[in-house]
Amino acid sequence: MRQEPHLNDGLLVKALDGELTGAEKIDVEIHLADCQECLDRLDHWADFSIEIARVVDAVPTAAARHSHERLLTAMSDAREPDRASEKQTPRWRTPAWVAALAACLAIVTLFSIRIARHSPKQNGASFAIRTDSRQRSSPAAIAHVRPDQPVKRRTVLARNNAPAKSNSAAGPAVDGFWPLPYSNPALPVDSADVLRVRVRLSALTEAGVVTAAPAADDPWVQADVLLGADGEPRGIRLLQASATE
Amino acid sequence: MPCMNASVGEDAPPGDTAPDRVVLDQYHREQAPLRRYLAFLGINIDTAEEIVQEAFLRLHSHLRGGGDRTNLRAWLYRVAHNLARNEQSSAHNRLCGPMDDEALLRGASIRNGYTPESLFLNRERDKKLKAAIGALSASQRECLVLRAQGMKYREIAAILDLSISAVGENVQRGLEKLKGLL
Repeated sequence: MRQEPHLNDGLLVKALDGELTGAEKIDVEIHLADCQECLDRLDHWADFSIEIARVVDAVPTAAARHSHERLLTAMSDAREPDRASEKQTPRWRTPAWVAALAACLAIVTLFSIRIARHSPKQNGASFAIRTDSRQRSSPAAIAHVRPDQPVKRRTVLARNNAPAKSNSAAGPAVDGFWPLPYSNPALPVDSADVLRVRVRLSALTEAGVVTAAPAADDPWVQADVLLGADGEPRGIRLLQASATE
Repeated sequence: MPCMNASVGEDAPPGDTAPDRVVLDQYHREQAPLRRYLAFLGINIDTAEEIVQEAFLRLHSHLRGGGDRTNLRAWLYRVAHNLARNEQSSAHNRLCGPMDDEALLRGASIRNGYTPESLFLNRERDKKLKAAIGALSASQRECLVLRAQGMKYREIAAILDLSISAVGENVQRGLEKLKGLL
């Protein structure tokens, strides 16, 4: 017989329920391997637990014959308010409303672009003529057609030299403005600006605006540059050659 | 010992997350043990039916709301336990009287396949045992009934809002008290 104390009932019940910690489990297994008395007590608690479970399990539970159907109906009813609220909520209308507005705006924009392209008043060339006429009527006005929108880069040279002769390889000149070879003449030039600049004649030759061979001294020339609404240059108009610096 | 049932949330396929299916699976598995537990809490049959329905509906709502699925069984019992406590604390509910012994034995004979002779021999003891369970404190009774339903201590602790050590203590003291009453 073992001389050490037997396992208490708490440990035996925990062993029966599989709730022992690692250390407790080792101790209990070692003890039970050599203690018939504790094994008998363990069996007793096991039988007693089965008896309790049997009594608990014997409680009748067939009271609700239509309980399953009731639950199904209740679950279905629980889903209906959500569906109804989804129908009533304006969330689905908002995207439709926005989509309709967006479609209208797209149509209006599309027609505006088409009208602008086919309207002579929106043509870049005629705009350039108009701005050019403004400049001519006001010699003091320097290059910038729209004073309410200042231009960052503006070179003002007013020298009364002879105009430089030029021949553009990019196309015909309209009111003195020659389309730049890389510009897209189809783009609208509304809200355009005209900048007066001075450039080397060789630069114009390299750009294809002037076909004549530059002189040896590569003089400076004055030119008006027509800028589109996007800030990109559309055309250039040579004004006069400046003094060589 | 009763079998250890795993919760649906643990053994359901990972992709099978339809709330209706999970609820019905849980219902088929747990509604009877849940009614037994409620009976041992002193809830009459009609009230137990309402509590079971409400508990599963809340489970349905819980799942549809994306609630945690780690231990739905303990979640379900906890809801039912709290509903039962609310019912008992209200003036509209009365504790049911002693359970119908005939029904108890009838259920036992059907479920366990006992012969009339064995039923007769066990009848008196079952009566005493049932009466003894009813004489336990509420915590001891709840812990023992949930243990008899195959719950682990951690599940019982989650349902009854107790510590695991407190559950072990209630189980041990409840068993010793039952043993002394028989």
